[in-house]
Amino acid sequence: MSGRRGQANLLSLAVALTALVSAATLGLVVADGALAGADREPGERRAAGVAAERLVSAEATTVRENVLDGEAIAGLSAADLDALAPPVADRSVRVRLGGETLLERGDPTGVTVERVVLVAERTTRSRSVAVGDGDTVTLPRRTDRVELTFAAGSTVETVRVNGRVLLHDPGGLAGQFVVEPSRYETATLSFAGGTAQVGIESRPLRTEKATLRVTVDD
Amino acid sequence: MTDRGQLSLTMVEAGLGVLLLFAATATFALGLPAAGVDAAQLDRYAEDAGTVLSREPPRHDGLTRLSEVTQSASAFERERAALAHRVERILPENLMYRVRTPHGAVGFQRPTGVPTGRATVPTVGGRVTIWVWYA
Repeated sequence: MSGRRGQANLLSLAVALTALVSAATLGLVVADGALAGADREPGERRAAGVAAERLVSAEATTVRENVLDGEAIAGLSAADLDALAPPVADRSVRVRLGGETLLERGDPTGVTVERVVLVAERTTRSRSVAVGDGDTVTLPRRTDRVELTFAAGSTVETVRVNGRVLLHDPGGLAGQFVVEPSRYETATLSFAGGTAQVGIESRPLRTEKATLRVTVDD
Repeated sequence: MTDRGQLSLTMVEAGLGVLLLFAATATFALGLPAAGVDAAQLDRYAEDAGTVLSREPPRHDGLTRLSEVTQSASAFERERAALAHRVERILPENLMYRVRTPHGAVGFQRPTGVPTGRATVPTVGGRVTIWVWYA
C-alpha cells in the first residue's frame, strides 16, 4: 500500500515538473519577444523624422514646402545633412529619393521614415520678340521668375502683368529687369507706349512626384 | 480513496503553478500597447499630400487647388475627377485615400479597424480632410 503510493507520487512529481518547466520556458520566450517588440528605437526614429522633416522644409533644399529643389538635393553632402539636422550627426544614414540613393554613410538598417515630395527642375526658356504698342506675351504656366532685357533704342514705357503695372519709365525702358509673377495664375505681359526688341528668359518649374526615404541607424 | 487523494494533490499543485505562470505570460503578451509606428508614418503621408495640394495653383479659379474644390458644389463636381487623379499621383502606390470637402468626398470607402493617417487642411471654403491607409 505505502509502496504503491510512493510510486504514484514520483510519477505525478515528474509530470508536474515537466508541465511547470514547459510553462516557465513558454513564459520566458513570450517575455523576451515582448521586450524586443517594445524597443522602438526612439533615438533613431526621432533622428530620421527630423532629417526628413528638415529636408522637405529647409530653404536650402526646397523651392517651397514639400517641393525639393532638384539641383540642391542632388548635390547634398553628409556635412550638409548634419548641419540641417544635427541629430543624425555621428549616425549612419541613407537618403533615397525615388529609386536613387542621394547620400549614404555607413550601412544603416534601422528606422526608415518616408515623405511624399515633389522634385522641381528648373528649365530655362529664352526667346526674343519684337513688341509694339499693345502687344501681349503669355508666359509658360508655373513661371515664377522672368528676366526681361530691353535692347537699346527701346521706347516701351509700361509693362503690365495681367493688367497690373509692373515697370514704367516715361523715357523708355532699357536694360534688364527681373520680374516675379504669381505662381497661382498664368501671367500675360503686355507692353505699351512704344516698340522694342525684348529678350524674355523665363524659368518655369517642372515638378515630378517622388518618395524621400531617410534611414538612420546608430 | 486515499490513493486518489494523494495523487490529485500533487497534480492540483502543478496545475496551479502552471496557471500562475500563464498569468504572468499573459501580461507580457497582452499588456503592451502597439508601437503606433504605422499610424505615425500614415499621418506623415496624409500631411504631405495636404501640403502639396494646398500649395498648388488652381485649375480654373480660386486661390489654390484645395480652395477651388471647397468653393462651391459645382466647382467640386467639376474638379472631383481631377482631384482624385492628382491625389492618386501624389501618394505612393500602396496607399488608399479618401478626401472629404464640405461639398462631398472623393476616394475610397474608409475601412474600420486598420491604422489610418489623417490630415486636415483649412481653406477659405471650409476644411479638407485627407485620410490614407495601406491597401
